[in-house]
Amino acid sequence: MERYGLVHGPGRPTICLGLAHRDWLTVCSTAPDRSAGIAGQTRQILSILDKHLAEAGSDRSKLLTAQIWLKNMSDYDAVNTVWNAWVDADNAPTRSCVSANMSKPESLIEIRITAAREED
Amino acid sequence: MSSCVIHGNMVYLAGITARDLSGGVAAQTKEVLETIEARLAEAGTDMRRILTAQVWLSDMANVAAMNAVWNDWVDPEFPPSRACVSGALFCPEALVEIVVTAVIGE
Repeated sequence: MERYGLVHGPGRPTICLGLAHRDWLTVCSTAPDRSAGIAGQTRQILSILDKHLAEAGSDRSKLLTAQIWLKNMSDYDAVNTVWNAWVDADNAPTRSCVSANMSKPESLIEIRITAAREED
Repeated sequence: MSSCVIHGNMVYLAGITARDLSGGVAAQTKEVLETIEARLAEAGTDMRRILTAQVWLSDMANVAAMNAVWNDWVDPEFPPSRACVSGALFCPEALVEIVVTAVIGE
């Protein structure tokens, strides 16, 4: 089992952003710069996903599932525009998108993905 | 529903809320995590082998109190990947619900 993006410290939960086990991995994150708008926050998260997917020996073409939480469902179209530009259209994951409040009120979006990878 | 399903080396626990809903979020979180630990032990694994945790809070105002209990519980060398969002739980007195998946063995 490998962990990526360890979070630890005062005022923060002890968690990891990414975790890989055998031929499977998951990454879950909000955007670090919460001053950004919905498109910017979405792009930040997708770049974190790319980073940890690569560290785990996978990439965005190997996604299995995605769960998107939106603070405001009115941001749905804006998220989809960024999502569609990022995702591998030939290998798109299943996806669910619902609205919820994240830990920080300025967080507009949180995404969890699961993906496949070649086993070590 | 089952409280725990095992498939291969994967363990899927049902969403767990506290039985004693009279307590605050700290007490409820502590009970939930103790239940998770007990269920994982029954399945032959432990919290260092959790892959994902999904924390549901009825009110995000409780996140700091939940995190304090969480941080005391989790092994900082082996933390899971966690999402925490808020939404309505099954009854108004339930303040926290946690779903985990874990693996057994290597």
